[in-house]
Amino acid sequence: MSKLANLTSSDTYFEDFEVGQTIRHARGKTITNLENVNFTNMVMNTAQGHFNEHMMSKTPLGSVISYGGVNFSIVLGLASQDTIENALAEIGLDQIRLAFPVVHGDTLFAYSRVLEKRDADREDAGIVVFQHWGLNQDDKLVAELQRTALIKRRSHWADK
Amino acid sequence: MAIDVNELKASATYRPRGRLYEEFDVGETIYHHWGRTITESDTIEFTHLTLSYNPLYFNREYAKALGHPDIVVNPQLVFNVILGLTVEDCSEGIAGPFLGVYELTYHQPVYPGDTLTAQSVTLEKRLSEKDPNKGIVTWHSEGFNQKGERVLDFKRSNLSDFKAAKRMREGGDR
Repeated sequence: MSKLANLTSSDTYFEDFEVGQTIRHARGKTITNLENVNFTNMVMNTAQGHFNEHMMSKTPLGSVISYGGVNFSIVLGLASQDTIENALAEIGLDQIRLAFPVVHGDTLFAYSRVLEKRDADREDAGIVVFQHWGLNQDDKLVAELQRTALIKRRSHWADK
Repeated sequence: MAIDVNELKASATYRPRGRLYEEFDVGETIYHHWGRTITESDTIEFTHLTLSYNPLYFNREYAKALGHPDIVVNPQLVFNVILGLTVEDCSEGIAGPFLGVYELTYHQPVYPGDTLTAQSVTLEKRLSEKDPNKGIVTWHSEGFNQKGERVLDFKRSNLSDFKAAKRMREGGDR
């Protein structure tokens, strides 16, 4: 296999993040059946508001509503390459708020800010807390949450 | 078998799923149904459809070089499977959106082939301050692997719209 350091970006190590740094991520992603209905059913979320169009056509929303766990997972995904590509582990999530409904055809975009950096209990990595926001195509805030990850230090990993 | 649709519908008893707000007791422990074995294809598909670009989740040799026996299951898939297992018991019947998740901790990695199960404790239920026809229920949910090790825990709150929940319990408008 190629050197480990060749497999991930060279600018997403612990040393590269600065508290307050705010990133607009490059890619957006449109929510369709492939994301919402597929994952809602794959994880056995039985709430049919996510997959029964007939029932939902009679509600004010007028269509199925994308499952919030899928929405925020996509926001985290859109942010992943720029924030946790060099993570050794994801430690946790917090303050997950689903602020606005997402329907099929909506496109999500992600923004992130570095909230906190601290030492870990191992020398080769540090802990970073990110705040993430997901916007739709109309700039409505649809999801916000924090992710904490254990991220490699360049000093230990850049030549591995 | 030929049957008249109106006769069929008139003869059928609606079998509702999910609990109402008043059917939760603060402090109760709920052991959720089914469990789920996580396959490699589950996590690869989830990782790529969510664009979760860390090679730990899709490059076995990289994961091994970092000390794991196999690729690591995407933590957000672990969360979504555990939440999914809780839905019928917790949020399906109360008819309201998922308001938030708090204090989620990933305690240890999950690998392809691991089998997850879920349980929850009802932490709190309260009426909405703004609308007496709505309430909020909060649970503490935990996910375990086949060895009984806790892989994650989190708190989740959902809104309940009492009128909508009652309509669903009575069979909706079908």
